[in-house]
Amino acid sequence: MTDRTGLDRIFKPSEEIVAREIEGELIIVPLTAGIGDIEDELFTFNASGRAIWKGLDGRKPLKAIIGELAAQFEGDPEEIEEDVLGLVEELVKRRIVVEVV
Amino acid sequence: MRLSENRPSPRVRAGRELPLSGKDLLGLLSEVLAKGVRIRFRASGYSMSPFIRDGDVITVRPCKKTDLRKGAVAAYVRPMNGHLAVHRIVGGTEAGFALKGDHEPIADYPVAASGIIGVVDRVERNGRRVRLGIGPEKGLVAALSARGLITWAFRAFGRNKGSVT
Repeated sequence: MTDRTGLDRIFKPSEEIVAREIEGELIIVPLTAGIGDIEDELFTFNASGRAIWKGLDGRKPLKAIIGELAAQFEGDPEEIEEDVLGLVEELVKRRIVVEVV
Repeated sequence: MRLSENRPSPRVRAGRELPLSGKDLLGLLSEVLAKGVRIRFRASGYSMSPFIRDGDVITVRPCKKTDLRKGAVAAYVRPMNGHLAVHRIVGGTEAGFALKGDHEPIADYPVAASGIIGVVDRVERNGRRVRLGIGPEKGLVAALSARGLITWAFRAFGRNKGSVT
C-alpha cells in the first residue's frame, strides 16, 4: 500500500456511482444500498465543483489538481486548496469518490 | 473567474427537476442495470394504465432469462425506434417476446431477449406501494391484456372506476 498523506492523495470516482453528462449538466447517480434512485437522489455540481470533479480521475494527486485550478482561476491558492479539500471530503463521505491506494 | 465565488459542493437533486429525455433515461437505466443494481424513476405516459399510471414511481431490476415470463412488466428498447418502453410480456414466438401496454390496442414488434434490460419489481403511487398487476395475478393480467380486456375487467369488477382513460 502506498503511504500518502494530505495533498499527495489521489481520488477517483467510486464504482458505486453512474456519472453522465445530460444537457450540459453532470449528473451523478449514487448506487448505494443496491439501488440507483434517480427519482429522489441525484447529484449535480456547480461550475467550481465540476472543475474539481474533472481532476479526480485516479491519476492526479490533489496538489496537482489544486495547481491546475490555481492557474485556471483567480484567487488565493489557499482558498482553492480549502475548496478542493472541502469538496473531496464531502464526496468521500457520500461515497461518490474513493481514494486510490 | 474565481473558483470560490460559488462554494463547490454537490447538490442533491430529484430526477423530476431535470430535463431527462427518454434517451437520457434509457442511457442511465442501461448503465445502472448493467452494474447489477436496481433503478427507481418516475414513469410517464398512459400505455400501462391502470397498473402503472403517469407519474407513478417504478423500480426496475436487472433480469435473468427466467424472469422473462408472461405477465412480467419489462423495460426494453423498442425495435422500431430505439426508445425506452415499459410494457407487459403477453406472449412470445421464435421472433421474440410480445410486449404490450395494458392500455394499448396492439403489441409492439417482437423484442429479442437481448433488447429487454430489466423488469419492474415495484410500483409506488402517491408514496404508497401498488402491488396489483405485478404480483401472482400477472399471468391473468397478461391474458386479459393480450385480448384487450383490461378496461372491461376493471369496469366489470368495479375497481378504479373512471381511471382508465
